[in-house]
Amino acid sequence: MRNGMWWKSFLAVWMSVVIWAAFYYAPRAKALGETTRVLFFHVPCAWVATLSFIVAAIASILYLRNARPQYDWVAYASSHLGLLFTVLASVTGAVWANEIWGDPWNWDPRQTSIFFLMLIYAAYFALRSGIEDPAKQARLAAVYAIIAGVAMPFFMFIVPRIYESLHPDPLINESGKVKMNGKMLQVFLSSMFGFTVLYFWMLRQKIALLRGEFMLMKKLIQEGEAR
Amino acid sequence: MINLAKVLDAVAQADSAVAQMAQPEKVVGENIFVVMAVTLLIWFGILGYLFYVDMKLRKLNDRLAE
Repeated sequence: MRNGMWWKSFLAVWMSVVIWAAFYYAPRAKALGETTRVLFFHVPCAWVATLSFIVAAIASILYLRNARPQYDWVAYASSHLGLLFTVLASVTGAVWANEIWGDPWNWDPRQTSIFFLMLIYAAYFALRSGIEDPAKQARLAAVYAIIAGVAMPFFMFIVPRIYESLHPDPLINESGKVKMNGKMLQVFLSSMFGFTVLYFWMLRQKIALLRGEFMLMKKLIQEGEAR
Repeated sequence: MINLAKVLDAVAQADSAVAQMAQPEKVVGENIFVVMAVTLLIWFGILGYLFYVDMKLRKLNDRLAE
């Protein structure tokens, strides 16, 4: 099939099956009732956000070593997606919290840490937009993305485990065991896989856009020099 | 007179008890619309982003083709 259509079709079918399975195949957890199903969409969003920030940090390290614009595009695009998925995880978490805790936002350690993470990555874009010289912008943004990437596990994994939280046990909990029904685990891992593939597709699209913008800029400069 | 007051009091208590029984207790976690809202928010968020990127790509291709 042309232009990688086969894996896009595969992804569409895969995610459709995951959505069906989340509602009809996976059982409910006793304490959470129907809202157990939120797990199959909310947690993959948080996972993709984490993955995005890791990819952004790695691409930034590579940029500082080689100064190739491609690495800067990957870092920028991945941070963009990371912020999108962080917002999605926070909003969907708030919808769930409103039902279970009776309040959408109560500064639970997990909510507080994700809020700080959002601020950190929002500042990344503010930093980028504040510098005009593309090389300087990419270099400073790379340094910032590495620092943010180092801080990210602290906010995502450590803070919520230090303080008492109302948030249900994360998959990798304190006891180090996966406490999940077999069917639920199947749907959960399938959803994680689907969201990961979706992330790489979205990343590819965003990089294509950045490459196009770069080509256009180059073309305009060449035309200006010719005149 | 005292008996009438007692009867009225008993009727009022019975009324409030019936009113309390008539209101079913809220069952936490059984609202499937919460799950639906979460699913739709995520898909609309992703779709919106993809449409935004697609629109910008199309505009860019048009400009590059000019």
